[in-house]
Amino acid sequence: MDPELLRRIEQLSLAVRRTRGNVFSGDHASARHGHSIEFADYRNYSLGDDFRHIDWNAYGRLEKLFLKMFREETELAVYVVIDRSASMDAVAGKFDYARAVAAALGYIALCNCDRLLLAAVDRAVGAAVGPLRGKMRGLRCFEFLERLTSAADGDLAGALEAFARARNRRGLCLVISDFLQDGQVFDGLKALRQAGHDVFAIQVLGESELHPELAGDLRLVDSETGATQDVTVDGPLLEAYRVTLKGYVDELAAQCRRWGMGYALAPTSRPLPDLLMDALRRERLLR
Amino acid sequence: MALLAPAGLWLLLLVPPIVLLYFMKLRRPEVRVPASFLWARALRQARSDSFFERLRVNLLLILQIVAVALLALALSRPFTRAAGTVAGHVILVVDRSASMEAGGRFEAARARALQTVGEAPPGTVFMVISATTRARVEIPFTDDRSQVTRALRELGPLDTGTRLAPALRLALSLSRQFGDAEIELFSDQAPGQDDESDPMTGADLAARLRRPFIARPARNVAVSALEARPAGPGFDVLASVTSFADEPLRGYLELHQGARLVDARTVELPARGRHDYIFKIAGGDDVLEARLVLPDDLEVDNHAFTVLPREGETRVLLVSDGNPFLEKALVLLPAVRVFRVAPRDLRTAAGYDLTVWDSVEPPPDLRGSRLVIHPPSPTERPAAFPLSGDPAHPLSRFVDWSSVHVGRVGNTTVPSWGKVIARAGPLPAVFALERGALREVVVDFDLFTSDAPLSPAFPIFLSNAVAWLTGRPLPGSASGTASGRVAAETPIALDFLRAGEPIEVTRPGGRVVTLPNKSVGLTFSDTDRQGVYTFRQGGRKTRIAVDIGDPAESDLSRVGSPPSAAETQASRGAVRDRINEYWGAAVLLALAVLMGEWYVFHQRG
Repeated sequence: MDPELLRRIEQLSLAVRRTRGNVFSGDHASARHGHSIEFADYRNYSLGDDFRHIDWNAYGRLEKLFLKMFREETELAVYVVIDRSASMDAVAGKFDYARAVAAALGYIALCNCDRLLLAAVDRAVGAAVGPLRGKMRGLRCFEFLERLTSAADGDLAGALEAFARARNRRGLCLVISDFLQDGQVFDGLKALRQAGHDVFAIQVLGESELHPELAGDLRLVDSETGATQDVTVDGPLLEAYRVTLKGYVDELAAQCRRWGMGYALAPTSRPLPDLLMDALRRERLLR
Repeated sequence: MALLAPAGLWLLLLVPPIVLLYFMKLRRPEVRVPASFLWARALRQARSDSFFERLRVNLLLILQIVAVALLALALSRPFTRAAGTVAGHVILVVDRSASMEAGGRFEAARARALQTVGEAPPGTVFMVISATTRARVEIPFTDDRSQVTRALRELGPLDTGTRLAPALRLALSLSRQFGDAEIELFSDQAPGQDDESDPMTGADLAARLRRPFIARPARNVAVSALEARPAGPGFDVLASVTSFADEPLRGYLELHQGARLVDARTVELPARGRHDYIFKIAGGDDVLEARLVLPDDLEVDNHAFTVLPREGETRVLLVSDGNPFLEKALVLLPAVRVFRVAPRDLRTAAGYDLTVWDSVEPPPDLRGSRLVIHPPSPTERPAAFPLSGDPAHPLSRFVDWSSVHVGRVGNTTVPSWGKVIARAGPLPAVFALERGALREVVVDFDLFTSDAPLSPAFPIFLSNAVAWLTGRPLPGSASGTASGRVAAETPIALDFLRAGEPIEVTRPGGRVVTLPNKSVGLTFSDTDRQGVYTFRQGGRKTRIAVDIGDPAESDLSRVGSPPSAAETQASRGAVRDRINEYWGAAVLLALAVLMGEWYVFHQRG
């Protein structure tokens, strides 16, 4: 990571779409009302409520018991899930780019006193590090990602479902992957969402995936399944591929929005600072 | 449509292997991609986009099969039968004689010939023969029309007479090699008109010959004769002018000596009349031209050329004790003056063009050419008879040695540079020696023991010997020309010039030709233009005039009979069943298909 970039991203923080309560206090507003200095609302007194929270001034004026409610400052659980399946390493630079994105987002979380968990998934949930708290844990985060290698195969949907089941604490789940899986890839994201996580999908695609420069009679070998496809690549087929890929990406983005998830496309040709400072801010992941 | 060679369809057996190879496909390079399912979807989409896209997948296969099928079709030679003109062999005989220059006859003939070539069915093979007094093959059999057309355009009329018989005989003999060959004659004459005795009017020729009628009557006046004879200090020149026109004509006759106009006369001729004009001229330039200034349709015969006979005579010294045969034969030679001296009275041989030594050994220091008759020999041998001669040597020209019988021949040894002219068995009887400018002819037998003096060969041999030894063609001799003129295309024997030294020939118009002259008996036959030909060898120069040589050529009203309808048909081709073959078109189509396959293949690559 470029020190200059680290210095710049220290100013950023992760934004959650839905606030939620957590056990530890943190920098993020929680939907759970508790005790703090920031007034939130009133509610009727019911038996068993703490008398200390009754607004006696209101009782003097209205002769009714109201409980005074305050917004509780909570600690945000941030899960950075990086896909290390074979497809991520099938295109030069794609896995490196994904690791750099994960490192940057993890570092931002640590800088904001969030509770960070880094996990790599392939066919299942693989190596993980965390929870980490505090900026000083950034080095460990980077070391974990640096040692991370790609796997021989992958099942992102299955791995995400397993991850959703394993994590009880709800939080912000950032999934970094190419999401190239025929048919079921969204099931994994959906499982995370259904588990109560705030989900943000970052789709990393290489330049040779977006604009392949293939021609002639070829046998295409799938990097994960090993399946082959004989094609004669010419202008019309390339155009059909671009249309198909665009449709696939657009469909993923639309599904994410429909399910209240965030989505951002991260082509490897896009400089990392641009992605962080521009694209992810526009998608309201960072602020 | 039928097939001439159905066995060609066996080529279709190549189709199954092609299909097999197509389905086996070529080895494809493997490329690792993150997800192949996107490509599979793209492929489905691309295929479903267009029916033609789906077709395109198999287009290469289809094109290959079509190409093989077309090649098989070509090999099986498909054809159809149709009634129409037949492509065959056509021999075009084009008359290039002088009369064809008149009134655009040659241009009309050429246009008709070009029309024949242009209208002939594809595949027709042509030959072009030109006819003058002899036949020339201008273009051998070829189906290259551009070559034939170019040859016809380059042809032009020559200043020669007409003899169709040699050309038609040649064409007929060539046409017999091909059953369908036809002869098409482009001439202002009809076959047999120029030579009635020629057997060219046979049924075979009539069956093959076609001729368009291109002759048209024209008006002409010609200088029909030009002769010059020595008369006193100068020459008398006789010029005849003949009219072949049907109306009286008036003009001028000019006489030019070299570049100088020496005389002119008014010419008034009645219809088809003739008039002779006599001029008296002095010596000077030896080239005379009679030029007729009169409007008519043929210009070439308005000029006539001649070369004045050489002034003076050939002086021959006969050294003899008396030989009436020899003396008589020498005296009879034209333009030869004979001086006889007995050997004992001889003081000098200088001042003579030639010395003749009869039974006397010439002195060894004698300079100049000489004819030695029966040199003294200590021994003589009986000879076989008759003599056999070398017909190629100019001394033997027109000499029938077989009519000469010899009793005995001398025992003279022929030097290595000598050339035996006639032999009596193995023994040399007559031989010639030539070293540099010195020439010597030895007759090594006694005339009195031979019948040679009584033979017609003897005076001819003497004439040849005097011409060869002096280097002067005698008037009327075999080597010379009558009154300095020869007919066009007559070969001119150059034996009066020395062998081994190149001869430079200047043709009318100034074109110069150099003849290597490496052997004796050289002749010059490129005399198809009217005018004066100049032959130079070293410092020696001889001029010979050439004219048309055929008075009939000037009679343009003599156009022969019009061709019959059958004779005119040739230019349109014979109407028979013809076979139209299509293998060429099939090959071209196959080629086009293969090129398309190559294009599609590279477009897809």
